[in-house]
Amino acid sequence: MKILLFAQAKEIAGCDHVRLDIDRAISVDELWDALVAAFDGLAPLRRSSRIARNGQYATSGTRLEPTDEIAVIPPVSGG
Amino acid sequence: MEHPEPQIDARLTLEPIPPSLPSPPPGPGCGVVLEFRRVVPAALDGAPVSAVRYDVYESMALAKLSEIATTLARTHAAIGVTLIHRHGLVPAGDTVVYLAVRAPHRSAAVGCLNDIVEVMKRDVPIWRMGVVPRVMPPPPIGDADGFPRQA
Repeated sequence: MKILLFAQAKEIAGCDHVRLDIDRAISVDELWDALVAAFDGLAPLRRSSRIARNGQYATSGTRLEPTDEIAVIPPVSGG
Repeated sequence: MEHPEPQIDARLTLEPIPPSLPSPPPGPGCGVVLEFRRVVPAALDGAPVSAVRYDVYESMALAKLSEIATTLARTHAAIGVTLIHRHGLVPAGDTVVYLAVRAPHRSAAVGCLNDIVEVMKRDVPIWRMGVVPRVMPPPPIGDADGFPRQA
């Protein structure tokens, strides 16, 4: 599963995407668990960031498929 | 009452947003054209700034800009919205957001503009990532004529 990283998430991980060895649908919570296990520096972003699935914000009930475009969206500051 | 679909032009750009943009024809029902520009300030938190860098999740940001403009234009019965967000390195004084709302009445235009800005700041994946400080020249040595100061 490929996860795009932006802004502070990109700076913390030092790369603009990560690949996690996940081949089944998972929840947003399971994704965060896997992300933090891979990059513990991302833990502080968990409370403030949102997850996007195929360009839409995911909710706690969203299932994330391995083929989806997943992104970590830290608090935005455009506009 | 049924309103026609609003005309929406939502874009991202790396290029400077010109000081004046040609406005689409207002149309027969348009009574107000309201324009808004957000510019990069010359100072942030008291420190002089030469530019600000914006990061973007381009595909989602573009879709969100269009979705927000369309949804809120319908909500306020606006006739059209132009919404342009610049990203990359934006020099101080340059426009980073241009928003124009065309509507039949002032209240619709103002309400639509305010709501678009609020929702954009909350939901569009664009980040102000770094501020490039402006380096101030050192004070000149000597007096105003360039002669060394007398002890």
